[in-house]
Amino acid sequence: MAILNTFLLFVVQILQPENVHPLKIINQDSISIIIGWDIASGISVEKYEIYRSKYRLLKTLFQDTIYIDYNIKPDNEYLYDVVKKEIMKEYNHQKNFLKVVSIGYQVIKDTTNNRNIIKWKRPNDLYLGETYEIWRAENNGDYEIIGSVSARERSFRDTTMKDGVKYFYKVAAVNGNERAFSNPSPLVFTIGTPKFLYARDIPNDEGEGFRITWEPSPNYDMIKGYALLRLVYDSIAAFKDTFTFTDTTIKPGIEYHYYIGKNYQITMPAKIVSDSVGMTGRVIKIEWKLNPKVIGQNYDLTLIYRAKKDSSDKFQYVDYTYPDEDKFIDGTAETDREYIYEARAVKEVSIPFKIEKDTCIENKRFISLSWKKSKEPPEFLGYYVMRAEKDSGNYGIYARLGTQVTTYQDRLGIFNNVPYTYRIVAVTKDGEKISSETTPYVVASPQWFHTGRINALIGIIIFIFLVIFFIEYAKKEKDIFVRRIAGLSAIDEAVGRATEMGRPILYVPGTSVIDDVATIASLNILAEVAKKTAQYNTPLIVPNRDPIVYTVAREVVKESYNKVGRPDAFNPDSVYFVTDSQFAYAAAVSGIMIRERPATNFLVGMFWAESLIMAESGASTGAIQIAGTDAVTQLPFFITACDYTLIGEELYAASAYISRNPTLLAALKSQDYSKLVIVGVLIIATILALLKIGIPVFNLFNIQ
Amino acid sequence: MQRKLPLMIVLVIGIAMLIQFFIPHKFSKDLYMNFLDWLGIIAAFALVLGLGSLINHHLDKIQRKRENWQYSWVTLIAIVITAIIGLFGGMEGKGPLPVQPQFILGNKLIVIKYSIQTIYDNVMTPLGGTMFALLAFFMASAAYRAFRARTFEATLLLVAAFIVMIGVVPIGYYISPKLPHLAQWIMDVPNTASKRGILFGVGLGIAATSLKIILGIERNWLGGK
Repeated sequence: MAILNTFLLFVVQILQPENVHPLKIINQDSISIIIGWDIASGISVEKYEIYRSKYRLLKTLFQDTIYIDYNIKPDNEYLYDVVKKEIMKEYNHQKNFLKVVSIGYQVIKDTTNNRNIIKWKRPNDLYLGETYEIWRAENNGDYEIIGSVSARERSFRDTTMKDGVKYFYKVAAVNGNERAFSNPSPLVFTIGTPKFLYARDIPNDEGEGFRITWEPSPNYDMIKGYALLRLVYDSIAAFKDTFTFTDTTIKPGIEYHYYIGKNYQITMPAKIVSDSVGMTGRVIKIEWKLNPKVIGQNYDLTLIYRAKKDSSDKFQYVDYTYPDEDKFIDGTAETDREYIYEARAVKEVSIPFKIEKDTCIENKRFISLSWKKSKEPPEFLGYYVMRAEKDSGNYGIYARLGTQVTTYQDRLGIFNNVPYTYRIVAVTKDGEKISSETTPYVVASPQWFHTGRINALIGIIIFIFLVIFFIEYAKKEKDIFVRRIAGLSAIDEAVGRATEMGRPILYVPGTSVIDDVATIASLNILAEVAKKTAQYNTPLIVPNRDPIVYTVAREVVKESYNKVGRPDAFNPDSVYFVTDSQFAYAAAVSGIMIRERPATNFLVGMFWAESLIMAESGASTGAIQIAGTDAVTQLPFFITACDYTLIGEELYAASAYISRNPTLLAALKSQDYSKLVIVGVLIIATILALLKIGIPVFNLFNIQ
Repeated sequence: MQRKLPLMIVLVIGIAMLIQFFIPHKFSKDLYMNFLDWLGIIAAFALVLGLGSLINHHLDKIQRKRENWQYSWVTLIAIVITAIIGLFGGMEGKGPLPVQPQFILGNKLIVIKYSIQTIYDNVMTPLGGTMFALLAFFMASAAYRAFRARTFEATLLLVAAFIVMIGVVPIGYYISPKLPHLAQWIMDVPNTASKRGILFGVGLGIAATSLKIILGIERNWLGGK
């Protein structure tokens, strides 16, 4: 769409005055002209009289040497004169005119022919230019002449514009050697064609998506946004119990893409839970019970349908919501109508098909498609055939994006193994649209290996190799050194103390769930502690927050008692579930500490904010406290409130440390050597970073 | 068999889940989601066992009249009341429980719903908040104990903590404009460095423990069989 830019500009020409107060233009714009003059030294001025064309007195000024004339019109020439009246002597009119010519002109963008047309009116007859010159500047650079026309011409066509460059124009009226320039035009620009970098299948995903990247238009600051267009597939047929289709509506010379999909729909009757009149009108809130078949079955949407009650009207589409939603607010209902509602969860899936025949009979082409019959559930609605004309230009808008966006992942209704093509359209603030070229056809497919995680795979292989190597090493060399860990060495002392005092031992296996490795590490330590309590016949209390942890902890303690030959000493009531509420659990454990007065408290596993509540309660009872966690934020609390703390990895070393099992110790050793590898890599990476050559190396360690 | 079967399941599932991490295909993700669903189902059954253990524990306490046995009644009665409201009132009080009590307080109509949400809002949340609020006092007492400058390390801790505490409050800036920067430097450099050191060890420890369990080297979680 062409843009009309209309401006009022003023072209100024100064005729040199002959007297002592030369007039000059101080400023000029579309609504005013400001003229000024110098004070003649040594002359006592009483007042200035300002005259405009034909000696019409505009104003008399005292002492001022500037005048602003607001009473101007475009396409007119004005003559100014200022007469000073001295105290002693009065001058006649000097005829020292300042001549101002105003030209109204416009720049018309002709995007169809890629040219700008500059049009102007001839100033009134007082000024007769010999020629007009058109001057142009690129991106606020210097003005250069791009053409000239005779005094009779009133327009100029600029056809030498470059794509995506900002231009400013000036018109100069030339009379002899004198040039009277207009003010510069406002910005005239072409936003430039956005350029596709690529549209391709998203790597390392489950398919059904493309990543589209483009270069922004050169004049991105003039753009309101982008529209992403995608090839549209139209539905041309639908079936339920048919497994072949012949397309007879083929236009000659056109290639087609097909895909066959199938629909599922589960209807869920909805009930009205409230019907009221709000600020915006009638508001009906409906709810429905989610069908179990919808939950977790990748349904695309839930469509809301409505029908008038007690009438034969069919259900009509109202809106859509997410498939896991079970409520909706309808704000579009008519007043004094009763409605019934339905929520319909819908899903579309593409299926493989083959082209059976592509024949031409009597100059008419037929394409036959076929697909396999499959057993379908009751919610199956039917098959549908979709078709797109190759290079047809039938594109639909699939996303509206901001100016800062230059990449987009399209996952809306895309099927695997179906060809799509894209085009990006830049939209200016004035609504002008410039489309890019279309991308080559792309097809989405799911991947079977995540290439972005190959570094993690290598790391795991190295680690497994180290573990196996040290296990073999441990079988030959039994003596593997492990540094002393104070918290674990104190277990014997802690159990012994409890035994001597005749008090129980409290073991808290963290407050996390079983799939937290810290919890499993804690249960490993619990097994060792339980063996010792079984040997010394010391009561053990294990309150649990997670029910699965409870069942595992119970078995662990029971087996430990069995292992040391004291199954009779196992008290099934010693391991029990308390609550899954975080602070209720903390309150319960604190209560046990205060009431039962355990001689030793073990707080081992994963903890959050409740850690200090338990540790401080335990400290107040005077018990020996051994804590261990890999939660960095909780470590300071444990270090402060407990006697011994297993910091981070010591928690995971505990099982090997206590049992002294060579295989476990070997695994511990492999951990140390892995850490050595990491430290080595860190040192190398640090050196590379200091040398500013590390970025490609860092990317090697980035796991997607 | 009793020993080998769990180990075999752990080995197979463990390796399957390890491989799953490297397969972005929908099949792989669905498999993972299925396992998570199984975990939810197991947790539901385990909750029944857990609840049974809790009830047994308190019944035993009442029967044997152990110390503070009276409080066990509170737990048992609370379990029964919550269960009844949950089963017959539901999450939002739409179950078949009788008429909900209403009364006017000031100019407001108060309706008490027989719902789990009512219990959560009026019992669990304030009690949880109370316990959480206790942290402030526990922190004060823990800080007092930690900052007693008995050793060189404790003195260092005291000085660092003092700088950080003063540095993050407005008065720190007025004492010296450089103090907030120093406090931030302590947090960003020595603190982050030591935290990262711990996290490296933790990461490797997690990997090693997982591997030991998958390969059957670590069996304590099975009771050390």
